[in-house]
Amino acid sequence: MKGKLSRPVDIIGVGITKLGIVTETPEMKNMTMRELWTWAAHEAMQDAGVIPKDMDALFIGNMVSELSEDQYHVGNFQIQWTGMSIVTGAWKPAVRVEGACASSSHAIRQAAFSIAAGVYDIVLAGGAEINNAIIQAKAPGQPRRMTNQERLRAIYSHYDQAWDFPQLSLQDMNLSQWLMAYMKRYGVDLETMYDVLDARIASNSRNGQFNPKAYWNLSLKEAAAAEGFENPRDFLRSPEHNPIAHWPLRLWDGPRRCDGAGAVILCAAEHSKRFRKEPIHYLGTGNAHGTSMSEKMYTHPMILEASQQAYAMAGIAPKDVHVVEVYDFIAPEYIITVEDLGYFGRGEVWKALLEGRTTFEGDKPVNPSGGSGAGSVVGSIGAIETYYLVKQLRGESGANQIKPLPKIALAYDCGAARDAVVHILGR
Amino acid sequence: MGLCPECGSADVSWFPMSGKGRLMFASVGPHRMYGINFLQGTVKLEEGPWISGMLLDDFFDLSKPEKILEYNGANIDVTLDVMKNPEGVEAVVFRVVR
Repeated sequence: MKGKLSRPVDIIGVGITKLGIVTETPEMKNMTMRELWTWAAHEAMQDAGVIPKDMDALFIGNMVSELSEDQYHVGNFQIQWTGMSIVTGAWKPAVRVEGACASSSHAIRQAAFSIAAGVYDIVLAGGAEINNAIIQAKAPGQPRRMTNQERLRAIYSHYDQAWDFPQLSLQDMNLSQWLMAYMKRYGVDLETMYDVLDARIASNSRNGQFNPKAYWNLSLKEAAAAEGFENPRDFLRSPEHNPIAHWPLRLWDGPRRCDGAGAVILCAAEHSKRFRKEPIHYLGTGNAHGTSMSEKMYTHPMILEASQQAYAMAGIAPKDVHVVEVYDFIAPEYIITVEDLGYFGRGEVWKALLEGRTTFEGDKPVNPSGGSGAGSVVGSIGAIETYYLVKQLRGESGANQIKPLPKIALAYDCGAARDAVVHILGR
Repeated sequence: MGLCPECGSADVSWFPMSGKGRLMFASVGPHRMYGINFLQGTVKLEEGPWISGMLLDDFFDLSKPEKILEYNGANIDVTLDVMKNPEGVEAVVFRVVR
């Protein structure tokens, strides 16, 4: 039947790298995309109790390898680095999937569909990305930090180069319009919105400080104190430390861009009990495209459509969701998205943020991982979100574990603020 | 040429825009690649499509970015113009009508 998985799919293993920058972070220093991927995939295999021979195929997400490593054909060498051979000299099916920041989410979807179609039983999916460094040609192991212009070119390559980029249309600027439209629609004045933006940073920081994989896990208080501020609010309102980027948005309203990989092992539910007593169920998914514009700006049809597809596939309603991870590359994506997903009612999330309800300790947790404040990796963020949520559903999240144990979780990923992908997981 | 999203027809053609549109939303900030501060407008063309791009407004004081709030949802008339972007490529820009 259309809109349903023809046979149920589970997740039996997840793994991610430490998030960081390959020119700086000790655990990942000088790694290429190959090593990052192998790290995440190996962790997922250990988590599931499988070896490469158990898996049938690989779907790997990646966004900017042409610009970071001058590298096409990612699926071909990653299947080999993952050790997924058939016989000597032949390797299992593999393909790279690209959908800008949502690349790994698309890879997970394609993996789920391939299992539901009966083609494969166990599939490895995820994403690996370096987007802060250039792997110098013919010199693996010697990355150099991207220049600002190179990094901008890598990020801006997701725009429509024929019709957006020449006329200086920037998604970041559209996103500040999302926020201003929200303010106007719900009567939130500028001073209050700055309190809301500060509260989002505080919520992500509160969550992210307990995330052992995070690129950034200082508490907001520690971060402020390191710069000589006793009060985090004064720190966030300091133009020197939190300058305006695209008005009214500031530096800290954006992401901590980093490198990293995430891997997810999906399995036909009829086989998953061989590997796990209590597998996590992949209940539903949706995808819809748009532009970073909409008629109202405070709501976006692509997010509504993608989430409705996923809810219908899963047979649940938004009220059934206990926790969400949303790709909040820039703050308005957090605010608009959680309302378009129906996780909050219209015009409610700004108050919920002010009331502190969105931390892992709150009644409506958003981004218990710390979200983009903990580390944002284009092209592999969807697999990383999935890792965090699987850990939450299993009760394996340690210091930032949501209590009581959530039953239904939703991951939202978005490519370039114009390609919405939703996954719904449950136990 | 794209296909019609209603019927899938390939029988579509280019035609000149009237050059008229309405500014629906606007924002202000840097284009870091080009090292400029500029205004960006989201415009509904008289013909229907929405496009986004550089907004020219001699009366906007870039040192007072909060004034951009007044442009959001204000339905301001704009005209389209063509000028060279910082890379020398001809591109559509919008100009506020006063």
